[in-house]
Amino acid sequence: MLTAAGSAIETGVAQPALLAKWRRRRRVERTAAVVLPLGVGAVCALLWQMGAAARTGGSVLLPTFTDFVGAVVRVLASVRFWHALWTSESALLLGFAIAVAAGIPLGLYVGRHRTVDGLVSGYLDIAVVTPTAVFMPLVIVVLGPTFWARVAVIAIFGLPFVVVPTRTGSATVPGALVSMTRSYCGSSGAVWREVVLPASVPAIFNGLRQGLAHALTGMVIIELTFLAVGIGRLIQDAQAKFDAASVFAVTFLIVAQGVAMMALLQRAQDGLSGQWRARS
Amino acid sequence: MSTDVAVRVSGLAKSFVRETRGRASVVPVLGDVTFEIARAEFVSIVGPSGCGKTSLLRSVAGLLDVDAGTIEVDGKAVTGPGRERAVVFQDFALLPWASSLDNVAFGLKLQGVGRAERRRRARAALEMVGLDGFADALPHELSGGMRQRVGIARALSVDPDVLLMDEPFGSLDEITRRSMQEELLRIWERDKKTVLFITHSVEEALFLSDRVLVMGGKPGRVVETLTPELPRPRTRSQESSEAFTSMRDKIWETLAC
Repeated sequence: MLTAAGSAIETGVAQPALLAKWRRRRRVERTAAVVLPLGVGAVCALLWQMGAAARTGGSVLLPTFTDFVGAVVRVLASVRFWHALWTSESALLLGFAIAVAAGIPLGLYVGRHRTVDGLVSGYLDIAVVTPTAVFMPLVIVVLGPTFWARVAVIAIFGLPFVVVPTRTGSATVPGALVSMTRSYCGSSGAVWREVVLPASVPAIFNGLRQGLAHALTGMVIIELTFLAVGIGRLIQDAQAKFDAASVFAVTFLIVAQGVAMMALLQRAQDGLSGQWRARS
Repeated sequence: MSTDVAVRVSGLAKSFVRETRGRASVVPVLGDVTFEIARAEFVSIVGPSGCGKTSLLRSVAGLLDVDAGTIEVDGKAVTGPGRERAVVFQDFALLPWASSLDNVAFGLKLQGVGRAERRRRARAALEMVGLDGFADALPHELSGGMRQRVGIARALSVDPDVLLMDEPFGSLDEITRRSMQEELLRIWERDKKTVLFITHSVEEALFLSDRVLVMGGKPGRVVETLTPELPRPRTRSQESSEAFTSMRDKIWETLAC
């Protein structure tokens, strides 16, 4: 209650009501965050089921939602899927690791040195705008139809997208923080360790997310076009057998894997930020 | 050199190269700047924007190479940043991901002080500026005035001989600014550090300082030195005194020339 003598907070009269209102709103927001996506998903699944059943009565080209769910369970239970996943993932992990190991230091360094930035920024722009798929035949010619060709393609797909955001993050570190660190006799190493690196963390993780998305794309494209192995081979085999439900299931699992990887990156970022905050 | 002189600046000159539409030109910023600051003296430099105040302070801090002249602090030539100097920045320069305590301890960490000792000294510095209840707060959770208190605490925690303050209250609102001025004087009266204080506020310079250097001209140089005849500790009522207002008018006249 607001009175002439003082505010509501001073008198304490309205505090319980205010808190109760705030808690109610938070409860509604949390419930909505769970219920709304589930609701939208359920509606989509229903429309899918009805649409597919009405159109063909069980088309080989468009499976019903229940066929799709069955295929997901079947694929997850098959040894072949896990073997194919490992074949694809081993190349993805190595290729992405190479992109990260090269991309983060390169991006950080380029962002802090105008001369180097001038030298490489043109190439980076070209790498970002050029469809990376055009390099795949070259890689196959040089490395042959091998595991290392897949690793190289994945690294090439991911690298520019790791470098560019990292470069932006490193280049936009506030000059005042660098001056402050130097004013307390901080060495160049201290400037990098204590300021440039932590200040660039959000940009680095942005780069990791973009790089991972492109690396995943590279993995799928090369396995579907040039080197039929792993998950790509699984999809091709299902297509050849007109097993649309399995194609949908494997595609869904690849998407789910990408989403899970992004979530892991987000958790890593949150953990790293917390760790930085905990230090003194 | 007298041992009473903490900072001696002689014949300082600095120019920058500016590139406009592909054409480079030399812009002289400081020209033959000479002054001294006695130990435990509070000296303010006041002047219009672009007269080289911040370049002068950055030169004394060792953050900017000079073209000509010398700077000595405690009798030693300045060739870079040093432990006997600490800077308070206008935009606070706090690490956004670090708590108040970590920000205050940062200078000590860079100077190699052990973890337990730097945390103890950082807590003491936070207490000195009245922020002992905000050790875990992140900069974005603090008001502008509180952030600058953290910046001041960081500078004080390393126990410098000379405190270099670059328009520290320039981005604060008037009410916070006045309260911070009083807070700074309270701390200064206690520790009696040598202070070089940059400001564009004539009133602030007069209220805080033992001596006011007025900068002007292109390139910038010290055009006038004034000593406010105001007893310490300073009080707000002095701002309406004859001594204060006549000094203020004189500075304005100098700046108008």
